[in-house]
Amino acid sequence: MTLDHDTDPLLRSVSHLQVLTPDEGRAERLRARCRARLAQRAPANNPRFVPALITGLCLVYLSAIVHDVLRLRAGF
Amino acid sequence: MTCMDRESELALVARLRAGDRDAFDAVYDCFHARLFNFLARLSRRREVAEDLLEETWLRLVGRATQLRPDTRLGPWLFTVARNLHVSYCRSRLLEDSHTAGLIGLWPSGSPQPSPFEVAAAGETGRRIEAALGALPVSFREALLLVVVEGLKPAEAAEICGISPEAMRQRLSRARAALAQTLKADEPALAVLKEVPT
Repeated sequence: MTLDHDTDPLLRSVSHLQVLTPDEGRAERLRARCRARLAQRAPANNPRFVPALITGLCLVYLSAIVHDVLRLRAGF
Repeated sequence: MTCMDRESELALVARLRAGDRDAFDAVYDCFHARLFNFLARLSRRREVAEDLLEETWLRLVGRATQLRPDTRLGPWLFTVARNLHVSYCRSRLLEDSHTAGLIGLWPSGSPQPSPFEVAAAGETGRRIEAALGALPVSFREALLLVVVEGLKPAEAAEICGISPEAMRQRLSRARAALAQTLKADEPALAVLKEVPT
């Protein structure tokens, strides 16, 4: 049996039940909380941020190696 | 009942994945009241509905970056809300039948509806609300998702973790149970009408 709530009077009554309203103050506080959390998460999950950070760390590491090699060669 | 077409939905999902707060606002405006109505009628407790609603949105924000690009936001949100309600019922061992007479559903924040709300809701609405509340949760959630929220039976089936065919059967039984409950209520209502005021 297929239900059709456009033609079935009982189901049409169900679909027209009173719309309940959530607490407005709480809804706005929740929205602000979610927005803040989203903003916190966004930079850490930015796909361009992580590769840039890894590249930067690699460059620092390589420059430290080059610096040590040059210093050792100068010592001999 | 939809508040966005598929193209807009996909664009919003992409923006949510990138942490766009304005995209979150658009999704929130579209679904907040709908999720509340679903949870309020499912749990029949305003405070519980508000708590589960909050957790639903926090789940979305927590997983926004991991959403699949083709996510359907409505079914995703209703699935989370429904699962949170199931978890809540399990954790509290809540028996629907024991709480039916004790609970106020209405938006006044008080356990009983105000006289204005009683008048505004109308007799038919109140009877249907009561009959819906008396149905088993599985029937109630099926009717709420498909008839009230306008989701497709296949989407509702996915949300409830059953096959589309099982959902169609469940909807049919839910409709029959609702009609039977309303019919059983009629003699009591007729007696009340006969009482002289």
